[in-house]
Order: sequence, then C-alpha cells, then structure tokens
Amino acid sequence: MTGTPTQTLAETPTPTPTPTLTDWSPPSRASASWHGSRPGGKALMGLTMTILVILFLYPPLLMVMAAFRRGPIAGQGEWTMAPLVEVLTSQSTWVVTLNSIVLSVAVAVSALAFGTFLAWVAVRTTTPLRRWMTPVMAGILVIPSLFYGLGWYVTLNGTGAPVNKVLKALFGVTGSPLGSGWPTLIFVVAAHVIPVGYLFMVGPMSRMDSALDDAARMSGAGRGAAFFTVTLPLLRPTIFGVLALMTSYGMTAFELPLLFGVPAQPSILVFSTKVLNTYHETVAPEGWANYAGASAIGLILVLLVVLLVLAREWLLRNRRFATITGKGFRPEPRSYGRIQWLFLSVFVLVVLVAGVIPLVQMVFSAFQHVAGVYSLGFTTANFEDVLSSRRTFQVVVTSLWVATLSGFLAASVALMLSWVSQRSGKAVRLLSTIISWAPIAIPGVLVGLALLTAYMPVPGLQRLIGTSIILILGFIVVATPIATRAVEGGVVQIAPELEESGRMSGASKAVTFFTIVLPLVLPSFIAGWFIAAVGIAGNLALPVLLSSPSVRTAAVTAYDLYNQGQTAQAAALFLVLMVAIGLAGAAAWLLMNGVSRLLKRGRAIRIERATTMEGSVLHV
Amino acid sequence: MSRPRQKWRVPAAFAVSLVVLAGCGGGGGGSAGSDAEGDGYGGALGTAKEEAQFQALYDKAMKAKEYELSLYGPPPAQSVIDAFQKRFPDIEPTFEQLQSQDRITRLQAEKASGNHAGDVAVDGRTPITSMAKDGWCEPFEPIVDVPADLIGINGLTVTTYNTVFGILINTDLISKDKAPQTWEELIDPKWKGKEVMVSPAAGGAGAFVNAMLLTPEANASALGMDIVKGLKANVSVVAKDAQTVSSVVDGTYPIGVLAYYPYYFETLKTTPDAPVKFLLMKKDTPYSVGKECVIADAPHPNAAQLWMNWVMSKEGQAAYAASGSYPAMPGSPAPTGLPAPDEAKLITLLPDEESVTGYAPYVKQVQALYGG
Repeated sequence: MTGTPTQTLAETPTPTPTPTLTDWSPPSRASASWHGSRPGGKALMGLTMTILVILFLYPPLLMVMAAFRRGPIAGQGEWTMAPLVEVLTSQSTWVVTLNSIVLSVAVAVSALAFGTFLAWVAVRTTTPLRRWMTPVMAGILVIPSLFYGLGWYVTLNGTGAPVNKVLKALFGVTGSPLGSGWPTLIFVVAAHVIPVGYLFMVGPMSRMDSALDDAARMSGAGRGAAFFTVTLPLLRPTIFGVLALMTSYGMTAFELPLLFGVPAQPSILVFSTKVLNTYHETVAPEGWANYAGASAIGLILVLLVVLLVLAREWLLRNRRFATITGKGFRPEPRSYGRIQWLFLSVFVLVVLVAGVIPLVQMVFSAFQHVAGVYSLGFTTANFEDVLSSRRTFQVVVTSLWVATLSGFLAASVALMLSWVSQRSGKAVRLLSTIISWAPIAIPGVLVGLALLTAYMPVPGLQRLIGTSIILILGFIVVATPIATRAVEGGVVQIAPELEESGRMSGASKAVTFFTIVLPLVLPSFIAGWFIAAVGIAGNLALPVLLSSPSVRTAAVTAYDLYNQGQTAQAAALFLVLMVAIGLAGAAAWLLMNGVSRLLKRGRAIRIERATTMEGSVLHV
Repeated sequence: MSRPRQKWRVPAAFAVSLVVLAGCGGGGGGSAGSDAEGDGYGGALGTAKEEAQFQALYDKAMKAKEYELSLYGPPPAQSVIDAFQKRFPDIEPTFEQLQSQDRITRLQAEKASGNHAGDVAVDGRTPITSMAKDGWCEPFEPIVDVPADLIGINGLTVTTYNTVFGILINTDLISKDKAPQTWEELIDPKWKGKEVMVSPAAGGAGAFVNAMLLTPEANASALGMDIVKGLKANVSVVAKDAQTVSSVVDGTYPIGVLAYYPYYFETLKTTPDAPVKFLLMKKDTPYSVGKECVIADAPHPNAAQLWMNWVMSKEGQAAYAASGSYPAMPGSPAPTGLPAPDEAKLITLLPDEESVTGYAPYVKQVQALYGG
C-alpha cells in the first residue's frame, strides 16, 4: 500500500503526494518495521509463523486431501476421485449449497444491518439506555446456541407454546405453523448473530472521530448522507470482515438448522447437517465411514469461503481506513431528537428476540418435568439432579478455565496476526489473512475430525491427544478467526503516525507497542477475548472428539442430556453454566476496572513527575 | 445358505430369553429372595462361584488401581450407573456419548497417541459388530453363564439388552381402541397430520427403522416402500426422538410414531399423570439390539470386564429392565409396562454381520425421501 495524505476519507484514491512524516509507508516486504532487522527477530518471526501455519493451515489442508482418499481413517487409504464425483453429481449437494447460500446471505445481511445500526445508536447518539447496550449485548452472547435454539423451539412448537396459543386465539390457527421452515430458520439464526454483529461494530465505531462527520455536515451533507457516505465507508474493513464471518457462520451453523430446518417439509438441509449425514453414511462393502464424501462437501464450503475472502480483499484494496489520528480525536455522541425513542424500541425488540424470550422460556423449562409442557407443572428436581452430581462442578470449572485461557490465547494470536498483517509486506500479510480465515472453511462437524487427523501423525502433538492441551490448541484454532474479526477492525484504525511519534520520542518498538498500540486496541482485544471465550464455552463440535473423560465440558454434558431426552435437565445445566460465566465475567470486569484505575493513576503520577522534573521543558 | 436361519437369530434369541424370564416369574427384581443364597454378594449377581469370581475380578481391578471406567456410547439411565457403583463403589463409570464414527475417530486418535482412555464400547449391534470386525475389541471373559447366541464375532461382543419402538398416544385425544397399531393402520389417510415422528432426513433412528421396512426381502415384500411413503404422507416430523414423546405429552399430536420406550419410561417416572400410553405394534415391532465390547488396549481392562459381567448378571439385567429395556439374559425381569416377550412380535432384522453394510443404501434412500 502506498502512502496517502492524513485526510482519512475512505474513498480517497491513492495519488502520491509530497512525502511527509505522517505519510507512513510500509516496507515492500516483510520485516523491518515489525520484527526488526536483527537476525534474532527474523528467526523468531519465522518460527512463530511456522507454528501458526502448522496449527492453522494443516487441518484444512488435510480435509482437502481427505476428499480424495478413501480408507478406514480420514485422510488415509487409496487415492480416488470417486467421492468428489459422487458429491458433485448428486442433486442434493446443489440443493444444500443453494440452501446454505440463501440462509447465510440472509442472516449476514440482516444481522449486520441491525448490528451496525445499534452500534451507531450506542456510540453516536444520546439515545436513552445507550450505555447499557454493550453490556446487554455481551450478556446475550453468553447464551449458547443450542440453549437459545431450544428456547425458541419450545416457544414456537406445541399446543402449549405461547405463540401458538396467541395464533389460535386470534386467528383460530391450530398446530405449530411457525415451528419450522424458511422464515423461522432465517429469523432465529439472524436474531442469534445480531449481538455478534453489534459487538464487532461497536469497537471501531466508538473510536471514529466525529470530526469526520462534522466535516461532511459542514460540506452540506445531511445526517443520513454523512452516515452513509462517511461513517459506513470508513468502517469497511470491519463491515466486510464481519459480513464474511456472518456468511461463514450461516454456512456452518448446525444446531439451529437442525431444530428449525430438518423438521420442515421438505427438510431444509445446509452444509453442516449434510456433512453430518454423509459422515455417518457407511461405505460398502468395507463398512467405513464416508469421511471422503463429507470432506468433499467441505471442499465446496472451502471454495465459497475463499471467494468471500478474496472479495473482501478486492473491495478493500488500496484504501486507507485510519480513524484514530491523535490530537483532536473526538468520538462524541449527538442528540437526534425524539426519533431516538424509535432507536431505543429497536434495541429493546432485538434484546427480546435475541435473548429474553428464549432465555425466559428455558428458565421455565428448567423448572418443568418435561421441557415446554406447562400442563404437567413445575419442579426443582432438575436443579437438584444437576447440582447434586459430583461431575457438575468439575465440568463447569473445566469449561470456564479452558474457555478463558483459550479465548485469551486466540485473541492474542488474532492481535499478532492483525498487527503483522498491517505492518508487514504483502507475503506476510497474505499468510496472516489465510491463517486467520482457514479454520472457518471447515464445517463445524468436521473441525474436531480435521484437527485430530491432522495432529495424529505429528510426533509432538500426537502425545497431547486426550489432554487439555490439545483441547486448548483446538479451541485456539477455531476461535482465532472470530477473535481476529473483532481485533483487526481496531488495529486497522490506528494511524501509524502514533507509533512513529512514540519511536521518535525514544521509545523502543516493544514500549511503543505496549504503551501506545495496546491501550488503543484494548477494547477490541477484550471484545475479541470475550466473544472467543463465550463461543468456546458453548462449543460442541470440538470437545466431542478432542476431549477425554477427564477433560469434559459443560456444553457437551448438557448436549448429552438433551440427546437422551432430558431437555429440562439440560436446561438446568445450561443455566448453571451461564450463571457461572456471568459471575466469572463480572469478577474479571471488576478486576480489570481496578487494574485500569491503578494504571491511570500510575501514568498520571509519571506525567506529573516528568513535567515537574528539573530539566524538563515544562519545568518552571 | 444360512441366511434364512440367521435372520431369525436375533429376534429368536430375544424372544427365547424373554419367554424364559416370563416362565421364571420374573418381574419386580427378585434380589431379596436370592440374597440368602450366595456368600460374596448375597446371590445378587449370580451363583456363589460366580460371585467369588466377581470378587476376585474386583480385587484385581483395585490392585491395578482401576478406579475409573470410561464407556463410549449412549449412557443408560442414571439408575443403572448408580446400581453398578453401589455394588462396586470404588470404580466410577463415566459415559461419553460417542457413537459410531465419532467413537472410531476417537479410538484412532487414542491409538496414534498411545493415550488410551476408552474401556468399553456401548451401542447398537451394527456399530459394535463393525468395531469387532475391525479389531477394536478384546474378547469378553464371561463370569456369568451367557448363552452362546448372545456372544458374537468370536467372543468379542455381547448382546446386553433390547429396546423397542412403538406407538405413543395422548389418551385425552384418542382412545387405545381407536389408535393405529399396525404399519398399515399408520398410513391410513385419516391420520394425516395427526402423527409425529423423528425426521429421517438427518439419519438416526428415524432413518434406520424406515430402512428396516425395506430389507431383508421378507420385510420389503410385506411392508416395503408403500409403508415408507405412506408414513411420509401422514407424519409431521420433529428433530429429535425425545421431541416425539414431548409433543404427544403436550397434546400437539395425538399419535407418536417410533416412540422410543426408555424416553417414554423416563417421562412417566417424572410425570406419572401424563395423559399418554405406549402401545406395542401388533406385529413387525421395530427394536434396537444393544451390544457392548471391551475396547482393545483399554487402560482399565479388569474394570471393563467387571462392568460387562455385571451388566449380564442378575442385578445388572434387572437394572436395565427397571430403566425400560428388555434384558437379554434369560431369567431377567421384564421392563415395567411392557407385555410378555412372546406378545412382542418383532420385525425381522438382518443378521449381525450383514447389518454392518446391509442397511446403508436403504438408510440413504429414506433420507433422500425426506430431503436429506
């Protein structure tokens, strides 16, 4: 990328102005600006990237290879094109592909639209309760997707379901007309990811200088025009990243299509449910599992995700999106009058749909003999069973520490990748992009399988199978793409001149990074950590294969209960898990608040000392 | 060709064992009477000689510090696990719901890493037979006198219990007399929209039981695709087996097809007043055969053999009966609420080894019919 003037309007083309200090220009190849010119730095960088490549690229690569080999184990056996040909010539494959595209695009667009709008409301308006929006959205995210799905399932299905009672009373409609099908599926999946879209957008939005909007307004643009021509274009890196992420999510979503797509007539199958069906097929005459067929379907998904990432890169080419520029930076909210009450009602509606309704329904279910059946009365037996089990405490604690540690490490890898991607040459940048996207291309059902079969032949890694370390490694791989989307938006908005200022003042690269970059990117980093950790705590696909009897998570235990028909007990365990996550999150927030205050106080003391010290330019 | 004889083996073994138990007046778990017979465990597990062997095996497991036992497969009711732990308190069984391909993948990983964790595989007969054929099982070393028909693949697998699928009705909405109880009655157009069944689109029991109607040939000619398509025309589908039971319990549908008896049984335990009744089909009742095997290189081999033997003991079989399954061993009690075994007219199944691949094309066909 060539240098651009300090004006930060997104659409600015790339002429070459007279070079100035602020016209930071990255080197043409990997290196100096990030890892220094010393051989040690280069070696460390090379080693880190090699480890990341092995961890992140090997599993998807193995899944690609597995599509062309048929044998008793995934990725082994005779080379053959047969599975791919079978998949490509099957009509159902293309129906599933179309279903997946429709679902993912509908979900991505609606979730991003609502997420972006609410993020803007939260940081750029004076709408009542706006300060509560982020914590509430983060709270909703704690609800695991299966729990959320079951909540809506019970709300929409059965004669006792509140929705059906209303429909019957008002229109005389019987049965469960909204129980499954396309509108319900899109509605439920989209509502589930709106908080994700919001949390991804709110960080970058809050760090945008409102002076940019002012400039547009002073140039004659209305509020709407300023929003669409300045605010949104500047958020393109985040928007495209989140759009691609949401689309991928729609394509790999499993639990919700299973609950609301499979029971439709005819069934609506998407990639994940089709992959599971194919994986469970038996290949005659040997009786092997159809790993190759499942991987071949995965290949189509890989192709679609690659196209998405390429489209994103193409759309962002040769643009500059720095919005935090140092002096004069003002992310100030404005009042928009009475219409802000409408903004508030949209927020309340989203909170009801994405969190309150399914949550309340599942709280009821946890106290019912049979989940969703009100006529049989209420009981506390489910909680007694769950809390009296010796393993409950163990699985909840395991879930918490594994999710916290894996989420932190994933967010750290995401920060490193995002930073390297911004401050390095094309080769490293491309590699970082591929690493941060590759695991998304594996359907959830194949994630554990791909990781296991990838690690099995690696001498060091294979000894870790069955331990908590392999589970954490696996979670880092699956959570990093999500964490990267949260972190990269924050990183890309930090103008390089801030670092340059630090360096010119004598700070080392490390000091510059930790004292300038890290504090600025910290909100995005924490958002990435939180989103990754919550996703990990509710993740089912990975621990099913990577965990062991001694390392078992609460989500898997609850899923087992649900599979055994004990949905009410599963609801009780999910509630226990959510309360535990909430308590742990609150404790972490209090801790961080305390640390932050201490740091601020320390910084104030240092500044005061520096300014009053003899010899200082400010010393009088 | 031995096929005609073989295809009857499983239902025959099932029926014979149940006839014997009925003849013995089983029911209600008669352990109190047998307590005085033996020494070690008061006759709860078997004869005095067998109980001495149980004690020796338990001691051996304790000496080898085998305090944990990992079982890969769908867990039985908690009451079964509790009964085992009450008998052998120093061994803690832990179930992981790894089934079919997931279990094999886990075992492949354990083998590659050398970190063996799985001790016993528990599942339906197809995946367990497949595992035994592929070398994932170790020989079962019986302490109790297990009939030869229940031991398969050169002594590697053992049939432990059988579970039936039936018709569940909401008695507030339909009387028992009017309820359909044959496959032909189920596809009567008058029931259109009144029946609920787990969707076969995503595989599982829905697809597998429908495939049973298409093979072997005896089923195909008597039932066949007409029944499969007739069912599709009549039923509304749900995503999971358990939802079949709950949607009949709450009155959304009057009739549940392929209702899994243990789920109904559990529901009744917690809500005895629920207005539902389970009906066995008058003929061709679908059922699943439970099998287990000790996993090769199990880290707790003595505890694994102890579990398998306990499951086949009087106490173990009674525990399974008390959770809604028909125990496989002759002389065991029948599950509460189900008729005598000779009244359960079971559907013909493919022989064990043939079942490994024999159902696959039909499962796929059924899935495709439902859009899978």
